Amino acid sequence: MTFAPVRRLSPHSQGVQPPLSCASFPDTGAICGLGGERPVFHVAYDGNFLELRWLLKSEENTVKLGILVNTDRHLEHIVGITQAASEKGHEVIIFSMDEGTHLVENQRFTDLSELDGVSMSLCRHSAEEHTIDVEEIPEGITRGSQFNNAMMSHEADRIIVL
Amino acid sequence: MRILHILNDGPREDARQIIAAHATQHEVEVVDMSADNISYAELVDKIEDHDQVICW
Repeated sequence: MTFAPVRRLSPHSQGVQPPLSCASFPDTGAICGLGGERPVFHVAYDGNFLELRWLLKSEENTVKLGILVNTDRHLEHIVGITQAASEKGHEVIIFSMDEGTHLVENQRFTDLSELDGVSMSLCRHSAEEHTIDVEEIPEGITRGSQFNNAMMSHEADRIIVL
Repeated sequence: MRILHILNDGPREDARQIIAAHATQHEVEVVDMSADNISYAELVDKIEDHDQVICW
């Protein structure tokens, strides 16, 4: 038996455990490595190269959840959803704008930036329009722009608006 | 397609009409955030499991 050259092999340093077994999918010709019941790598062959690709964390059974905060009325829901998603190992991206920037004056909101997998930013222009002292915002929250909103829209698997 | 509608401030007429229209062709689920005792863990699972999420 001959093997095609491996084009790419990402190391275990990405936090992926070695596979315990493999599963093949005859319909597609794909082979998937399994860590328990969770796929941890894919193998593909294009006729020239065999590609072994370890899944990044975002490609495992986790999602990137975006939360667009444009009001200050739903703090309880934002906190509850963010904590639940973080506990499940999901990534959460929170972007605040308009009236939602008022929430950075509440420590329950700003403390979310310290949870695992949570990143937070806000529209500095919106904050200044709502007379928020942006210099008082904790370092862990990016004082950004609508570009951060665009990045969240690009990166997130699901986005909710609160 | 599975569509999750999240009612941030409770039921509203425009949402009801859109949800009814979606329900004719899709599998639709509605979460009323104005209700008591929301399970955020279950809500996160629903957000993950549905193909589309719409917030009102």
